[in-house]
Amino acid sequence: MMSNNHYAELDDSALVVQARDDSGAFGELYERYVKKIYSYIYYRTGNAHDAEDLTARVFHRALVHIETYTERGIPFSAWLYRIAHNLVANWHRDRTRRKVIPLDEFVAAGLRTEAPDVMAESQEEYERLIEAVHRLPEERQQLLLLKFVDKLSNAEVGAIMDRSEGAIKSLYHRTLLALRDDLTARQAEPARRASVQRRQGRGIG
Amino acid sequence: MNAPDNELRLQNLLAAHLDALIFDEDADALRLGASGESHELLLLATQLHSALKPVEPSAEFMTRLRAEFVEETPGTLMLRWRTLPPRYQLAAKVGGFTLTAGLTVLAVRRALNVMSGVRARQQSEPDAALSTVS
Repeated sequence: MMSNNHYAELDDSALVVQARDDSGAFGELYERYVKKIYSYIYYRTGNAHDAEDLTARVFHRALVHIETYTERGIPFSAWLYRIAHNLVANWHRDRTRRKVIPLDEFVAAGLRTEAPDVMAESQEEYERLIEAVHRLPEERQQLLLLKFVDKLSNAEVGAIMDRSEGAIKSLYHRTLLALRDDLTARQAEPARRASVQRRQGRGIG
Repeated sequence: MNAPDNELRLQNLLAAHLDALIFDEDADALRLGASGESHELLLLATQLHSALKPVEPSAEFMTRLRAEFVEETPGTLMLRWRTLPPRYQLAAKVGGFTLTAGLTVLAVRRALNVMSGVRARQQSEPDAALSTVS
């Protein structure tokens, strides 16, 4: 096994080749991506326990299949995210089948404890925003998390989602529009309900 | 300028603003220069940036999982040590220090015992010589 400094000098492609018979090289790849993959899965599942379980499965699967992985335009990081995406999709399918109570509010609870300095009012806004993000279609959630949480470039996101950079920009624009419309509709909902109740009250009187 | 051009311009503005946000550049300058729908969407992006913060797994989980992939060698043990939470590192340091100090005290006592034994033997040898002479 080589020294850690040596591994740090190698790029992902070289490490992937070496990782086929050197566990230290795989360890370096793990160090490079474990936090990002965990963060992505955490926001998609809403709780730390499942995020840990799925993160472990992503790296186990990567290790098992690294022999057969060939770059062909998909960087190693994008390959890892695709594994994570598939595992999260299966997890959501299983959860729907088992009718487990949604855990999305765990993310908001986590944020509450992780950012105690944030004002309560802003905290409520953040929670509403995260809830709205979770109501978006899957690919739009994926895009927001890859950009905002994992801070990837449009080219990297494009490689993961199998789209061009232009398509990513366009999807981001449409995602923001959908998010804004959802938030506006939710804000207007209590006022609309009150107006309907007032009208019904007048009708009865 | 026609509608698709405007849309493309807005998409580029949103992308540039997002990159400025995530790479800690001056995103406010782009937002303050915008108006209408652009401003609204840039403000929403800024709120998303504040709400969606990266989350880290526990050090214990990371170390445990890494150990499943990597063979243990002195080098990797040092890596595990570095990823331990500070309180565990402190506990290990205190434990290590106590053990070393205890072993040192035992070794010193043993050495002193041996030395005093040697000294006693050296003192008794001339006495024995005297008794032979008499």
